[in-house]
Amino acid sequence: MLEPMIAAPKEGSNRRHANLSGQAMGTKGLATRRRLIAAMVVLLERTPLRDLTVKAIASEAGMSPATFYIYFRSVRECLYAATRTISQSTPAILEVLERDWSAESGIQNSWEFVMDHLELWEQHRSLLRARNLAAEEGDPDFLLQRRLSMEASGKALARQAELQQRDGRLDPALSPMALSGALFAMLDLVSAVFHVHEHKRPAAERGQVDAAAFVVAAALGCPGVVE
Amino acid sequence: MTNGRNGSRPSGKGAQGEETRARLIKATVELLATHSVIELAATDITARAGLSNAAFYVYFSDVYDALLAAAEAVDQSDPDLLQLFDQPWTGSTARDSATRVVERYFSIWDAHRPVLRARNLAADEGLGAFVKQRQLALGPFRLALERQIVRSQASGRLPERLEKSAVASALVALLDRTGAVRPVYIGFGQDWTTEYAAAVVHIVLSGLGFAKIR
Repeated sequence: MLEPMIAAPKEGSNRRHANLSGQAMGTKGLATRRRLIAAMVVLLERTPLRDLTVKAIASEAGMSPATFYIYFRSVRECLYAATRTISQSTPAILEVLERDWSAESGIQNSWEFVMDHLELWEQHRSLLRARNLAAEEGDPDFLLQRRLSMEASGKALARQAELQQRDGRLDPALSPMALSGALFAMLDLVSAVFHVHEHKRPAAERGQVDAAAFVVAAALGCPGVVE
Repeated sequence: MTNGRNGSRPSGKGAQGEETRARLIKATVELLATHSVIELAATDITARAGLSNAAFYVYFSDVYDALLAAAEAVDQSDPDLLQLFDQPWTGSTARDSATRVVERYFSIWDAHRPVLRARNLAADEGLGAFVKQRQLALGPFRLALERQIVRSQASGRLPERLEKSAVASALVALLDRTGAVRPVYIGFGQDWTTEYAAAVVHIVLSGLGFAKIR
């Protein structure tokens, strides 16, 4: 049955540490809530999003659906709680984006950046995919989560574009932030589909990383891209 | 889940059967514009099409089966897109060629976004029929990109070591993902998507900017 999308609770509301009955959650309540989220993440690894139900999540956590509804109003709300734990601005990604990309090492940095991004997706593929779908379907809470999650790394990549413009290697008419957005869009999809052919052609995967790294470095005007 | 009813669909229903099937597909497409594919049920589709629930299962095994049929009707490698690759991309016209490719690709996304988004979700989740459908739909476009990549490699503007299919995949990923999310940016009043996707495609395919580096 179709139901309207239910908005997830807002960050900072006093519901944050209370369950849906308004009772304050103690250690035990928070642990139960965490177990439900963890069960949903486990299920998501092997179940298409469409088949993810409250009943299945509760069963995976060894609880009754009634218990689920003490903490979440819907699968979507549980999903939102899970996605809030993910940051796409990881220390590894920020570290590589803060290096000097203007030297010959630009392409190497780009390669590591692509690998770090893939690694993040490898760890959270199902959740990121579900989050992106909800965001694209226009759910404002998921949109905001995605924006906040990418903010620091998006700015760091834009900063690299600015530095290349300053050094005359990149068209000064391009907006660094927009270029950064386009490159992250590419990496998100490259990463999202990466596993689809994973076990068939391992050599092709390496080629895919090389190509994505090249596109990032070339778009930023890094020297040393063409031998 | 999709279990290949497409191959074993009862035949001989004639023109009326085709029309009923088309109505179900149309209802699926319309519902996807306002509802998440996650929540869409066969009963919603039949209600919209004004048919009985049983009618749905004459034509499709489940909602994903109907989605697959809807996706098959979208041509992501249409002739208008492919003919933009007929001329080599060189010199001052290369950027315009890249821009026209991106505009055409995005216009296909704009016309079919709900179906393509749902199709991509199913493919990303690894459902074989959808992975295959996406590959088929994008096949001619990828080949056109690869031809341009080979031209650039031959003229020394793109490293030989890069696999042409991998570079094409990266560019398709850029376009497909940006095509999916661009309404969000347009909604914020920042439609940078066409300009910046075109810039990346152009820079990569024509090697613009490399000359002054070397």
